[in-house]
Amino acid sequence: MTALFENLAALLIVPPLMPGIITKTKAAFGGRKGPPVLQPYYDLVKLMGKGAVYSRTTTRMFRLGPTLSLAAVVLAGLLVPLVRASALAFPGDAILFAYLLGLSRFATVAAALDAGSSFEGMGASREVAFSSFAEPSLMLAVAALARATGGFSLSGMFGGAIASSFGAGLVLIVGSLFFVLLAENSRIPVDDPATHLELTMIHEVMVLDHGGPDLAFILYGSSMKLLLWSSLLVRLLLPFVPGAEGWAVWSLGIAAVAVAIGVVESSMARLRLIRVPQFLVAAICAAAFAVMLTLK
Amino acid sequence: MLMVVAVSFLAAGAVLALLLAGHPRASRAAALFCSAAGCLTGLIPAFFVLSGGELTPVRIPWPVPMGELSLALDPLSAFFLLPIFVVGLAGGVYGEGYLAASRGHLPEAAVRFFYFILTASMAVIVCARNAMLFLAAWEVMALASFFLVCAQDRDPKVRRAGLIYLLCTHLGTLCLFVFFARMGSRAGSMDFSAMKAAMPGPGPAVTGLFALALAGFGMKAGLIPLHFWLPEAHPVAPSHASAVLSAVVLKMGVYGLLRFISFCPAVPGSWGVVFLALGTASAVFGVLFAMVQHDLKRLLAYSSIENVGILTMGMGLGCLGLAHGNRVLAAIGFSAALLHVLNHSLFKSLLFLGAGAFNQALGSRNIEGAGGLLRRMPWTSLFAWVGAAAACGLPPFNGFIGEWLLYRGFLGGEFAATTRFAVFVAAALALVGGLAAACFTMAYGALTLGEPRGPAARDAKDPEDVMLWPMALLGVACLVVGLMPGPFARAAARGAAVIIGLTPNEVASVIGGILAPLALIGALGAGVLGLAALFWVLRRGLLRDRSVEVRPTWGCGFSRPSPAMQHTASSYAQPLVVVFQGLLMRESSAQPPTGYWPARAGFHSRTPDMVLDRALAPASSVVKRSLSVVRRVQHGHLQYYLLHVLLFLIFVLVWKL
Repeated sequence: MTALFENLAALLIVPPLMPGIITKTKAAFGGRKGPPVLQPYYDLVKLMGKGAVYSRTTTRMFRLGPTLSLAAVVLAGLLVPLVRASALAFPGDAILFAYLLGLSRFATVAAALDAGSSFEGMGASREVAFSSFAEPSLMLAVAALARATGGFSLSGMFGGAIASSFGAGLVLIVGSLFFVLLAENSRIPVDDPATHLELTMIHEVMVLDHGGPDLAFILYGSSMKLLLWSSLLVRLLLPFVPGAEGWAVWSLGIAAVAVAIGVVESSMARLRLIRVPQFLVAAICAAAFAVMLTLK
Repeated sequence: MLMVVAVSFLAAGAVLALLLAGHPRASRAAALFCSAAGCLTGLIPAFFVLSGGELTPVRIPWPVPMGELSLALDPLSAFFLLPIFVVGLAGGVYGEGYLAASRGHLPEAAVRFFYFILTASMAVIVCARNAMLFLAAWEVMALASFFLVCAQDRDPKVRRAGLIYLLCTHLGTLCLFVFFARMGSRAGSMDFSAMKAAMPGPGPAVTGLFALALAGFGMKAGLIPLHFWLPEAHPVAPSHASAVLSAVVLKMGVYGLLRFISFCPAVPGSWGVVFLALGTASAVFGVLFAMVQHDLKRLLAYSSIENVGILTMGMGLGCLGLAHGNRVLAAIGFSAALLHVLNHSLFKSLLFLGAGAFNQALGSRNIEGAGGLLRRMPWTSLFAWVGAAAACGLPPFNGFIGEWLLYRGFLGGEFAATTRFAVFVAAALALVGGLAAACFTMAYGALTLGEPRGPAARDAKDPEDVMLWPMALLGVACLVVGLMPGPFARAAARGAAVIIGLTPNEVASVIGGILAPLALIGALGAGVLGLAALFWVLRRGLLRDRSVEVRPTWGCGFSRPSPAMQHTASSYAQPLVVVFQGLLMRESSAQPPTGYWPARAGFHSRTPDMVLDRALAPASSVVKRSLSVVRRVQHGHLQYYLLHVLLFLIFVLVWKL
């Protein structure tokens, strides 16, 4: 029971910290001081206190988007091992996790199309296109891990005892999942969350017309999604760190992933949109090679 | 016995449709009554058998050589009765509203008649235990579908679609005639139980039978490359008939294949590989071609090919399990296939009924001219949203359940020794899931969201209640299966037990542990809805006393947006079309704007079907051209024919001299 509450606390409180650390890392690379690490929390509080402006075109679908999307991410978060293994873990929860994130995306995309703007339609179109390439690599990574660990729950596969002979496979899986993490959470080199030109955006352009509490839901949900993916990566590498489970190691791991994302964002440019599928196919190939290593 | 009553109600409905042809109100009442009575009566024995009951088979002599009216209901038949009667009922009720709304364009009595005959014939097919009866019902189903496809036969396009359909279905039936004749001659009887007993072990004889079954039943199921009649025929039928054609009639092919597998004492692993390959190809191509359609019903028809592909993957997994003696995997594969049979029939019929309502409101099947219908047709749009989400396989709706079970079998570490390379099929399934999400958000967005792109969309209205209730029924069914998947999965497992040759109790112990998490999945699905409702209330509470303004959509500072500036369905699909152009081979022609004040510009794209338009049409024109030599003597001038006869006689006389 305590494991459930610890995870719930991590799931609900930690997420906005990650964008804060990423921004701080990027600022450090740029030689700036940057906003405080806790800035995303202040932003959320401020947005929750605001009114709203809705487009004349929109319907209930637009208002449903942020709420349904956040609800799906929270439920997906209950399945993911965070500080402790998930209390709800069951064989096959990895599939439900992937499809709950799919539901969240479906809600966001429908809300974006509801605004009837060409920019938001463009963002939605790119989002669904790129995510359909991200999904196979997640499934293949899950397949490889299921075969290596013999389990089929996220908690069993991520943070279970991975056979030490799976070394090369593990590298491939971590690489593939990191690629997918960058794509699914609209980070550079797939998407630039800090860009200010609507034509080049993917995720940010879908939420152009949202404001106030709706935008707070969206920002909170997307930082939570980032936390979930990062936690999977951290848990995958945890068995190799002495003193495995616990807040200290997990928080350090999450912070390290955030810094790694910040480093990637500071050191490379965004890919041309036409190159993004190739980037994701590389992730699929890496995961497919990992699966092949498990074939006997 | 109740089954016979149910079929009799449907047959009575068909007869009454003809007798009351001139009386619209009486025939409407009779049709509604017979649909409801027939389908609801038919569901009782289906539920009874699926919950563990047993019914005595009905055997009535039939004066047809080798024939017998032999009907029985095992869990496999009963599971297929669910979609037949649920969709049959929904479509039958909806059809009354649809016919009333399109009065004058459709031959009402004929559509009613053939609709009833179609539903009744499918109920007979799944219950038949004699090959003659099965084939007779199969042919009745094929012809009834043909007449429904050709309901609007004044349109040459409809006649062409009907002709293609008729040719294909008879080609398939021909394979089935050979198939059953070979099995019957081996068994010395056309009775299914005798055929099963006389079924040979692995060898060329069984491989031949498998190839015939795959051609005959695969043609009906719409497996690639035998799918090409489907996107032609399904869109042109009246929408409630399209719903039954796409959601249930295709499944009769699946039923035939499953019944055949249940006959085989040993299933070779190569069948599993064939099913996996065909399933993957059908799923990927189906969804890709669905994505590039502008015609809503054609899009849905291609999506049916995709879903038949998904459930064929399940059959492949089941065959692999059977071949390797892994009963758990076999049970998972066939249960997943059966679950997806039910789930696809529910959401696809819902989508087709919604499409019918949209089409009638818009006067066109093209989605590019629509938009903003959520505001104007709120109920239809709500139900279509449920159908679209279910079609993407998203929880908490029913589409997710079958796919979850499928992934469970493909990816589960404990089956690694059996699945081996089949695990890559799961990656294809994931890609298909992503593409389906792209496809259905595209269609749903273009139709219901944003601003109307044309005058028809501006004045659209929800249809009358008799068309809305069936959609509500199907939408609720999608949600119920998604939130309470356990009982349905266990019923599917009982059906799978018939295929694998296990008793219901054995299968429950084999697959019980695998299905156990479904209760939690249902609960988490309910949790998503509950939490979303909670956030909705929170949002409302926060905004209550604050300023909530309504302004134009943000257009980068441009303050006079027009509906024409919205993203269209074609442009929405563009990023994916570019990536898959090698497979899709979309043709497009553009007239770019020129000069400083461009007045005219245009863009047109079409994606011909790879089999019908790219392979069969050129092939048939080659055949036609090579036969044109012969046609020179076939010109219809009587005097020349007389001359031919005279010349021939002279030739014969000279030859004899």
